[in-house]
Amino acid sequence: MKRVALVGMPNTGKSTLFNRITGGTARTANWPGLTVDLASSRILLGGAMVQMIDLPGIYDLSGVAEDERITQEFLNKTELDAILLVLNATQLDRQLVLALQLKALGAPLIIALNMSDEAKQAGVQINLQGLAAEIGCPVLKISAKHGQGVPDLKEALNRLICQQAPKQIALAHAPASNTLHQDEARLYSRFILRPAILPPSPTAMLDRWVLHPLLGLPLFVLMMFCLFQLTYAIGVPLQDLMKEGLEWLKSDILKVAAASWPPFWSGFLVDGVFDGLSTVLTFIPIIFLFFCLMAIIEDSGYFSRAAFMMDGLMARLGMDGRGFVMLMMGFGCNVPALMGTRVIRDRKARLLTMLAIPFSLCSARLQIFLFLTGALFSPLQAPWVLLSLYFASIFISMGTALLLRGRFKSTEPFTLELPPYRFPVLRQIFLRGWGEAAGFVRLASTMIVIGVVLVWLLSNYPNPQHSYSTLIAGFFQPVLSPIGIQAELSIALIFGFVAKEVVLGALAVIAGQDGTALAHHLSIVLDPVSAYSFMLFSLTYVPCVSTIAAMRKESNSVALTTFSVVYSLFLAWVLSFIFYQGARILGF
Amino acid sequence: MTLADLPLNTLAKILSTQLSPDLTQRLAALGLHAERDIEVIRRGFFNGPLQLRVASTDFMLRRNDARQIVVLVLPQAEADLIAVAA
Repeated sequence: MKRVALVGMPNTGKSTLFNRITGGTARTANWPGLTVDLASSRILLGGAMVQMIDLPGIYDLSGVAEDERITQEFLNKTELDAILLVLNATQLDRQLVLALQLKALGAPLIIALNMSDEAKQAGVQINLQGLAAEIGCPVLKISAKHGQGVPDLKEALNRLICQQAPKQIALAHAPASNTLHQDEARLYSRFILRPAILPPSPTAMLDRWVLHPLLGLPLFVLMMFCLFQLTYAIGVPLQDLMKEGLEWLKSDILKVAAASWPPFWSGFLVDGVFDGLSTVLTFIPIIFLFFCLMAIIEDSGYFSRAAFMMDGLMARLGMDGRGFVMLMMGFGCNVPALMGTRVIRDRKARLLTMLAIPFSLCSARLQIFLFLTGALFSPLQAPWVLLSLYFASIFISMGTALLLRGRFKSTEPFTLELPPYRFPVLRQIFLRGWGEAAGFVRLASTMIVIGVVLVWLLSNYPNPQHSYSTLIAGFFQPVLSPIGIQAELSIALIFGFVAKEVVLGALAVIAGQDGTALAHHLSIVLDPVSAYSFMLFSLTYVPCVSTIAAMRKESNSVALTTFSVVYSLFLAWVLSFIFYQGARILGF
Repeated sequence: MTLADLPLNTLAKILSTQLSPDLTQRLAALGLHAERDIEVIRRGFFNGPLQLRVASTDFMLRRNDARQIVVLVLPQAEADLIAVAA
């Protein structure tokens, strides 16, 4: 099969073009010899099947930075029928160098000048014939966003791959980019005409407000707030609807059908496997919406502005501005926030951010805290208690980063482009949300189902009254009583591994009471100090099995995932111990 | 003068840099290399990064890194600065 790779610098709209050409049917799959997944898709081009591969953005083919290695390794190892080089038509003054490098290597090259609509608007005139003749390959103007020029590009691509035999390039022979700057400048001045004085762009005017020294930050907080509100305003009803549907399926169909099965199998399949699958499914609306909104923020250009604003603070913690945005996202749900760290290209910086995210007080934990603060504290105290938990959350994530930053020193040459503001494309937004949700289901469902089944087994065998989880709770009692958590509550904590949403339900089952009655029961068995200790523990220890699965998937490291779990458990205990014993010593 | 001290919206040229090879390379890919004119558009708060502009590209660079880049204010820009000061 013929093979074509898309190469280009970041922010050239390469992935948009990839989706445009392939019709959004990309699959991300592991590539032999590479440790990361690449998006690839098969398309019919002029009667033959062609595999298109979208490579991660690269700044310099002769570059030495870690984040460029994947693309370099791929190009070095793979025979290609064509390299489709995507350049941003408004930034040719610095992007032509990639074309010169590939030309020097004798690559089967075709160049797409993307965002040519923006270039035209800015008054940039490009002599296509001249460029094509000088570089010696087809050069076409396109707009991947609007689809202009894409059919012609496909045709030209087809002609190219029919003419030439596949070729493998050796990047070791790539000329260093700094030896090509003069050629680049010469090429630019000969074939590209740019007005000397540009009118102030809408971007500059918007930036004056968005990056304002006083208004920028409140605007950012407001934006994040709207993002949460929107995710939950749309996502939670969807989630509830899905839960109801699944609940109906379970009680009216599955339970009925399972009535005649042996008790072990009906329990295993209905309360174990089915509940596990339900857990996975109920995450889908949130992940889908979150990434749709994330795509809007990224594609609009706001993301890098947010990173710009927060970088000063985050640099002191060993992270960068992008990490802050992800921590904020974690307040919604840790799972997509972990997945979102992909924007951080440096592995170590990314891992550090991933270790900090699970301490973000997510909406599931918020449910528990809202219930407990409502049950145990006066209406006047409750909001402050809740606020203190938010502060604790920020403090713990940042403290974790500060503590571990020495081990995860970023080697990324840190600079981030601030692209002009753009209107996001609906189709791209949808594809992104859909792709992420599908990826989550594919890769995390096994682990989540296993986790749920395990908890079911533990809490039902040998029998529900004296189950393994009671044994485990009993076993941990000497450890948990110094932090004020009794056996009854420690079972709820075990359930909390599955999902924090389950904790309240588990408490209700254990106490045999629901709603207000449960609140009343808890206000008798717990005092404010032990309740706060319980909340602090719930905040800090492993958020849920989905988070573990997402971390495992995104970090590709069992060691890091294990560390995160063990560290959070240990930290949860230490913090609750200090709080509980301290409060008792002080006489509370 | 280093890039970190360059007044806002003042065109300058790069004289020398003492950055790591990969950052030097990355900045060159964003258009920042000798022969190019550069200006600082704004400085981030909390002692945050600088927003730089080279031709058609805006990007951010941390102040620590900007201190490693020695620049020379272009004659025309210098004249403007003096005029403003006077």
